[in-house]
Amino acid sequence: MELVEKYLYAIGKKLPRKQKRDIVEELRSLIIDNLEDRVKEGEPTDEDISQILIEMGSPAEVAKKYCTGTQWLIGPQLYDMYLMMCKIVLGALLLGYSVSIVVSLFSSLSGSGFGQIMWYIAKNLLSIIPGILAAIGAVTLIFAIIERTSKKPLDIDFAEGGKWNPSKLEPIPKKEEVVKPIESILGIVFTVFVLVLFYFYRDKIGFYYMSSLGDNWVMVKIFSQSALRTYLPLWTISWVLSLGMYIWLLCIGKYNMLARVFEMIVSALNIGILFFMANGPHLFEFDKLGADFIDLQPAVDFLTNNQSTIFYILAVLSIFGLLANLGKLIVGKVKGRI
Amino acid sequence: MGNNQHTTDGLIQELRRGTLVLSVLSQLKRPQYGYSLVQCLAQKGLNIEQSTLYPLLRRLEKQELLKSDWELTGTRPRRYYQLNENGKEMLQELSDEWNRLAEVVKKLTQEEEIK
Repeated sequence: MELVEKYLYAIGKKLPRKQKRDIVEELRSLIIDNLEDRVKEGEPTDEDISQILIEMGSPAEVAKKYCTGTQWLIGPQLYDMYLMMCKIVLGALLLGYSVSIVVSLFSSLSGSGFGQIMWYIAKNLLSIIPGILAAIGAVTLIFAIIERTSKKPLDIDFAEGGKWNPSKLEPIPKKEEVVKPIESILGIVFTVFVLVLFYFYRDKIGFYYMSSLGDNWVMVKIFSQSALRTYLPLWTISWVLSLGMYIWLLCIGKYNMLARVFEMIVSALNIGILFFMANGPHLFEFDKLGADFIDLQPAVDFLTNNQSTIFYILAVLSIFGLLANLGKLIVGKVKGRI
Repeated sequence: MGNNQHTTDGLIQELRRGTLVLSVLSQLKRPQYGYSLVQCLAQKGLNIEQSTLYPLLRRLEKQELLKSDWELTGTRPRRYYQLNENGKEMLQELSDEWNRLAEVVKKLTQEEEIK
């Protein structure tokens, strides 16, 4: 009978706690019914018991049939989207980390031996694990919350008095409105990458070259760290807003009015930032170039000395871009009405 | 053309699955415990896996179609299930629907034979 107890224990482990005792008791009595029915004389052998347990089904199978109802963290409706977000976030993180490793190889590790480099890569691979876990954890948490807070199917709410209303079907997006997933995904990956770059590897951003002696990599810093500290909060707002927009576009798959307006607000913010940068502390601050690149020095000086003007020009160009988009939107709207 | 055995099994199982609840309810006008029900159904030609039946009884009880009690019979207690009022009504409704459906399907399939 020990086999029966082991079997019941295995099932019990997988049952909801509240019903566990009762179900196990019932199963025990049912197994005994089986035994009594088949073994008329003497004690049942292990073989008799095994035969019956096999017929009853494996513990996992039996337990699963007792557990009905929704028992998922993220349901089938969200699952595909969840997987996709996990892959995107993972991709963005891995890209960011790989670039940072490559950059470190060229800067701080230049001239090191093969063993040292391997050690560095191994150490970094280990250090990215918490980051990956945190990112996947955050995505999972967000989706679990959506799963628990949204009662209706996420895609469209047709409902009207319990019946679905075909007239509420959304129009098929026109060709120019469709946003391909790959566009949004690239946007997300790029934005996360930039965020990681500027938050964790700010001091490693620069221009790298092999010195003419050929024994080490030289880094030329291009940004003023104090200016970066001033601008980074503003950039962050813009990047996070863009990130939100890309995620949203990925979910709905098309440009609608709201997305276009949101995009314009982000561009307006960017224009404001550009004007601020034109008037604020100088962003570009190059280290002296080495002898190998002395020819580039005039270009670098020109950029450094005229950066305000350059930001102004960029800002004005962006205004034209914004106006053009606004015009398109209005024309589209008017045409749509006719 | 031989049908894929796997597909055939799947479809037959699907067909049977729909009739399970009706079959089980029909045998619970008097109290039965799990194993006696398995045997009762088997005698009448319906073989149902124990791992399917026992959880099904729980589910029907949760849906308030059955009532259940531990009762001492012989030397040890057994859990007995029986239809309650809801269950009796449900059995009637399902039987009616089954009879109607059986007639329709019979007509449909015979029609196919004539052609």
